[in-house]
Amino acid sequence: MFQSFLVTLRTQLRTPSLLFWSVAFPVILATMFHGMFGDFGSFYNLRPLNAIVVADSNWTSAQQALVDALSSNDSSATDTAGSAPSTDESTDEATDEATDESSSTTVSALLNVTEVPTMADARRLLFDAGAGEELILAADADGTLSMTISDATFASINSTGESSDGGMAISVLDGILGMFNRRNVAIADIVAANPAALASPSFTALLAASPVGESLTRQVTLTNFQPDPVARYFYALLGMAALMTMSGAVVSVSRIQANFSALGMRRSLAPVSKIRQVAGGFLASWLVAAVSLLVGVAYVRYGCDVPIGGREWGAALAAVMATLTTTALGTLLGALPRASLAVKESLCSAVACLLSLFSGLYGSFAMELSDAIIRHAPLLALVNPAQQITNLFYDLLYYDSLVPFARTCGVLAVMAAVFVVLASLILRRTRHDHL
Amino acid sequence: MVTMTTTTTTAVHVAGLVKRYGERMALDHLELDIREGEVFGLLGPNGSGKTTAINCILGLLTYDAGTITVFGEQLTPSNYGLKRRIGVVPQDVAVFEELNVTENIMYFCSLHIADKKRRKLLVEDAIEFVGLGDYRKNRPKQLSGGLKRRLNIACGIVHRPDLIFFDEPTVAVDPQSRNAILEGIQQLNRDGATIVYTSHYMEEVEQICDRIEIIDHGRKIALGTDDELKRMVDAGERIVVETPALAIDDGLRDRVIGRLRDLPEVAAVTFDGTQLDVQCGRGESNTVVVLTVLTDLNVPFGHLTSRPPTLNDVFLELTGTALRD
Repeated sequence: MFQSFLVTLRTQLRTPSLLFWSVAFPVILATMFHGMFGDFGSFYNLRPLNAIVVADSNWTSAQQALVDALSSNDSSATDTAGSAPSTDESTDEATDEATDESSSTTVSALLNVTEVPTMADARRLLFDAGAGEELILAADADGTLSMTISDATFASINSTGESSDGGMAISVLDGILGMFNRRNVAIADIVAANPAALASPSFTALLAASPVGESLTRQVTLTNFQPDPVARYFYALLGMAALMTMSGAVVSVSRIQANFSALGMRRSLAPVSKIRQVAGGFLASWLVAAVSLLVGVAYVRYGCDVPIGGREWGAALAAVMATLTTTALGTLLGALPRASLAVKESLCSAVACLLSLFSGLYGSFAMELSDAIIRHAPLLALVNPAQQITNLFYDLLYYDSLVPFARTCGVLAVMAAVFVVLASLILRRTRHDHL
Repeated sequence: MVTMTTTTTTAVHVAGLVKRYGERMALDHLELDIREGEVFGLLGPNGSGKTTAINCILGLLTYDAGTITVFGEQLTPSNYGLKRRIGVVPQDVAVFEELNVTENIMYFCSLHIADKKRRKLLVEDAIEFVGLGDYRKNRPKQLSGGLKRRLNIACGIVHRPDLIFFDEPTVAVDPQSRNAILEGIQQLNRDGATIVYTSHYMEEVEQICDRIEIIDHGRKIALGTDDELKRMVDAGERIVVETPALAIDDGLRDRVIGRLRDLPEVAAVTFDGTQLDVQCGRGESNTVVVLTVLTDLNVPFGHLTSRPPTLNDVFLELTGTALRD
């Protein structure tokens, strides 16, 4: 077995095409992804919006307090903006790291305010392209705040690319205004229904509180790490890269089968059991595949700066588990008795490309397809190695607990066992019967 | 069918071997006995069942009926003791393209020999035996066709097997390499190995084989030594004489051909415009008889060749001249 291990290791390390598809291809693809998605995350960043405030007779101190809070540079304002450090003191170390990494998306103020006395002035200023104003904030007679955005701002938030980065700020502002208006309506309703409530100290204290303070909103951290929309694509890429490594196992097994080559015939006649030869080839293929994927993971993490939740050790383990499964799948494909080696290698590429489609590699459509499969046909997602390998990294990034990661490792281990058992059954039955 | 040999110490014994592929009978009660220490030639046209028979003997194929023993044992996939005594040199070069000469031979040796020191010695011997000492670090793609064949042989014989199967080992090699390979095979035989040799080159089989079995349609057609096989068929001496005069004198040509055909020793006579081709039957040399006819009829003649029957003649007579797949 050791000799088969050594010879497989040597042959694979001296096969340029295998090294290209296992090592260079994922790195090249990751570089392309990095170039394409480099600014993708800015869509989720906040930046200050240029707002015109109509300070007319409807504009009260309550509205002014809100605008002051949103245009302030102090930390309470950033808290409200939704991308601030967690207030949960029990947050673990991983969350601390997440906070550190999220600093690039922190905004010091949501609004740059210009006050005007009337709505007519505000509209004039908004339609003046040179002024650079993006929206109008005004209050009606009931004290309800409304937002009017310019055509240019509307077009910007509905487009893709660099110019769309105001979309998230608009969404956040819209949420804050809605919350403010609902609070006002709720207070008005309470006072109308029960005027005596005004005599209650707790109620008056509530009224005196900041309209946007912690009494009404609090940021909670639901995930281990700040969501990174780009990371999913890189994880799907790693899933594909893992599947691409299985061609090593395909070749290794095919070279032991007597009905494919004279080399296979000669090895079949050796006084060493086929299973031991397959086992040696399997271990060598797994080693080469794991190291290849580790190179890919390292490049994605450090070259492309894609987060793995501060659990790099887990990513290394994920690479080992992922390649165990793909090597087992390669062994199964290699054991197919009727197909030639060329057919098997083509099958290998086809399987990698197809399964990667369902794990979301090929853009937003594929991501939606992947999500739809997970929601509506979870069994299909469960048996898709590419999806499970993608999940491995996803589990590391998003979950505080390691249980989901361990569960995905378990799924992959079961898959690997099934593939190996099937391959063994096929290899035991295969005879040199093509002649 | 004529069998002219008897079994002594048997290396391979095949009796009543039947192998079917669907409706097609690949081996039809094949009989085969290979004696220890001999070079045994297995001949047959394409599709005659040679390779199927060898694969059945090697345990690579199951078969429908019959018995096969190698050194008195059945060669099953797990009979490792017996497998260690067997070497195979397949027709296609069966080596790793990614490994160099030494690594290839070392790997195949390691499949048979556990002891590292002994392995090293055997690998050196094998390299020397096939004359690849100057190419130890070369990979197969850097070797010529002949050198590749020699590497293929080295990988098959490195563990010093008692029984070696050579399946057309000289295909597509130059005469020098072919000679080296044939001499090597004879040397292995002198060192005690039993050789089973299949080839389409009849002169090679004539040159190195002690006994030859010709099979066709999965059956044994003939078995014996080279001379025994030649005596089995009617083909005898073939005499070719340059007689350009016969091309311009139709009457003389008809008289010459008529006289020759009347001779009891002559089986067939043809004239191709310059040469008279006389195929004689079995027996002694008939050159004098043919020359006497030409002299009697005053036919001027030039170059004359007389060739005794060859294994090729025997093969064609026994298996026919129709093209095979």
